[in-house]
Amino acid sequence: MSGRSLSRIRYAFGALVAVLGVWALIVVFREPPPPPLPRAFTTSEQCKSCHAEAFGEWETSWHAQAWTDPDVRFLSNDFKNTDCIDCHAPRPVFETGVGQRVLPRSARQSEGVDCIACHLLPETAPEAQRGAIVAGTIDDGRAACRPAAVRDLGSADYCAVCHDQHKTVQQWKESSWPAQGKGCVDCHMPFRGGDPSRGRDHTMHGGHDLELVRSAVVLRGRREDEKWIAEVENVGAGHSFPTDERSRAADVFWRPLAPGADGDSPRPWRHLHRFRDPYRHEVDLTNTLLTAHATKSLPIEGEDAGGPVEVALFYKRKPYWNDPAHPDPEQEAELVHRIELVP
Amino acid sequence: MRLLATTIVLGALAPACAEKAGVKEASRPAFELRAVVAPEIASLVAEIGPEAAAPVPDAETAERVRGLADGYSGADVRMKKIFADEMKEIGEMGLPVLDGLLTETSATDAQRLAAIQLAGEIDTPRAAEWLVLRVESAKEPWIRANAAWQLSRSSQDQVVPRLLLRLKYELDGETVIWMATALAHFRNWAGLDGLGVLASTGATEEIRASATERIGTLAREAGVEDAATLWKIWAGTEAEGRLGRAEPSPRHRLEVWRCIERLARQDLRSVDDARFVLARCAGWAVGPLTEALHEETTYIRTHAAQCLERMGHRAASAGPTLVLALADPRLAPNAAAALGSIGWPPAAEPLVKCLDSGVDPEVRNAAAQALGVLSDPAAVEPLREIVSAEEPIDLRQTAAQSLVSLGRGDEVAAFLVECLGSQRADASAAEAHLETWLASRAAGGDEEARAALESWKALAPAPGTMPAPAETAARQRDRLRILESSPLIRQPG
Repeated sequence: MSGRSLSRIRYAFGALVAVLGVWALIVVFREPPPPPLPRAFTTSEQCKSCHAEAFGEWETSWHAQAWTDPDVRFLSNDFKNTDCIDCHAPRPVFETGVGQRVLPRSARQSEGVDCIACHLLPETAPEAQRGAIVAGTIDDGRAACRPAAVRDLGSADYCAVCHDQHKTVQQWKESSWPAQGKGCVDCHMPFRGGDPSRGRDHTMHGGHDLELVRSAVVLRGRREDEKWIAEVENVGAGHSFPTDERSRAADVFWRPLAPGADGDSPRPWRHLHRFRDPYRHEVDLTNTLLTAHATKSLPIEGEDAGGPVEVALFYKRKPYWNDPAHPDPEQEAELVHRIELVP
Repeated sequence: MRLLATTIVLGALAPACAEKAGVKEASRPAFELRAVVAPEIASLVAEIGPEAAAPVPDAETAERVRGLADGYSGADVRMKKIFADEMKEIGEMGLPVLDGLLTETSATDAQRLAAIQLAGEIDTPRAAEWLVLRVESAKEPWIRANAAWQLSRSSQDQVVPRLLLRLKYELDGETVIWMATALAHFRNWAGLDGLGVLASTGATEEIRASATERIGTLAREAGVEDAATLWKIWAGTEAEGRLGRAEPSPRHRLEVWRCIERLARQDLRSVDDARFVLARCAGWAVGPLTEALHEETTYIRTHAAQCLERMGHRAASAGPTLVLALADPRLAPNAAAALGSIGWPPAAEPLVKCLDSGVDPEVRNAAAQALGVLSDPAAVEPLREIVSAEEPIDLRQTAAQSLVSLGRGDEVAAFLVECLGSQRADASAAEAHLETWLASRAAGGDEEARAALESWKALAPAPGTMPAPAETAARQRDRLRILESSPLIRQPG
């Protein structure tokens, strides 16, 4: 190869290197492409593709069933009591503001308390002014939903927009839990597997989780002057037990351990006490909720009360008994704790 | 740059919705919002003037009042008149003494009853307040009942909202009867509802008979042939024309405005109470509620629209303002719902326009539902299009349910059956509308539908029982099976 040819190749190679260099510089220093355009969020289904885990948890939660839950349907007379709609199918919390009660929505009611209700920011929110669309735990201007970290999302005042309508957050504020740094999310929305890096569980454990209910109270008995005294102590609920006025109740029953006249079957349960805050029309009833950290002592009296007895605490999500004169807790309520007291 | 966040859509499309509806004011940028409630209340407070201090009885007056109460219970009609005149002369100064009589443990029931009756003779705002407090809070039902009866002779109409609220909570049948009587005296027949319940399900034969008799009396006094007609007139658009319009006193108007003000409270219990009262006020309250649609506080204007919705046809005069309110993003869904409920025929066209794709989903859904309530045949085709289009399932279901109300159940029954079995749809609502559809076909003589309805109803929970969630789910599955295999269900072609 002649020197001239070599020179040409060198020039060509040099030119190629220069072009590649310029291209590399352009690639490295050019403006990043614009992030994908945000989507309009009109249903929780839209959150599923990116947030499958949270969506799956929410889908099975009672937040998701706030509209379809048969108990709620029954107690609200199939939502003919339209006053219930405000919190069972709410518009976005941030629309009215944290600490302010929510307004009812008319669309997607069967989604209940959905992703949009908790996370969507109105355009007037300061974060939205900076381009965010939803409230979350991180700022990410490139994600389709444009999340902004909003600290209020995990605050008690946030939950209060609905749950303080039945004074639950007020009960928590009056307890020692705030001073201990324990808030709503610590029990009801714990980190997945206890690992903060995995985010919080959106199942929203609450009164439908019997294990959580069991951890809220202890049932014990003691002997005093030849009499049994049952005690229920609120050791774990961050609020009264049960909380949520009206629809929730807890009942203490007892019966002698000795079998009945047929010598085989247990005696019928005898009602000892009810923990409940009544509906507002039940003017003859008083609030008997067991406040946080409180203990209720219940002397057991009546025939065969001095001998061996068993005492049980039952939990009801609907306050009424099918036959109030003959309540059947084993069929109509859930057993929380049961103890046997033997002299 | 953000394109389509839901909240922006909400803001942008509600005015468009009104514009498409051909509303003249559509060119205005927004529905006018201003402070409404506070100035109204201030104006009425000024009109009423300051309250004078409560007069304190001297020893001589106290003795006189006690003497009147002692003598009143055993007196004949003539003497009672004399005692009553003397009580009127003593006036409000006697109220603290009557109060003492009512609460003293040594007072006999006859003296306590006399105290209530004598208070009824003092026809002043303070005496009315004294009586209504007894209706609201006396422990003994007979005191509540007698205080309510005394109010039925009063001219102090400002007690009406408080009596209405008490209707919500009162359990004593006799008290309900006298509260309904007092309300009718003030030209408010909302108590008829409670009387009807008592007449059919009152606790005793005596209460059922008293309620039935009272219903008849109220109808006669209103100049109407029977209770059903009276209720129809009261719940319709002609109440003021047929039953007469009572001009509310400034105090009554003030109480209603204060009720409207309570719509902004944070505790829903107060809001629920205010909604209950306002929805049962006489027709004149439609004026203040319509005015309150312009209130700048979101809670007040949205809940005012809900009150109009709950008033039903009695609130028809709010129609034009509610159409304009479709331009307010926050108010539009509630305005649409109210337009259906009040039965104002010209609302059909703007509501149909609100179904357009691109309008905020909240408004579309409310409009779809409202069109079913409004029952305008012009809505059939647009609703049909929604059911068959690629739309969110909740909107399609609402449109289908409205078509059932419009007598087009045959066309959408298959889709509603799909909703009954879908996790994503409102199964309970689908269940209720399918039952309506079956009942309508059965009533038309369709034997197939009659048989299906019979099987359907056999699965209903026993009256008064509370089905467990699993039972409800099982019932819905069984009902689904009834229709899935039925020739009644026409699959879309």
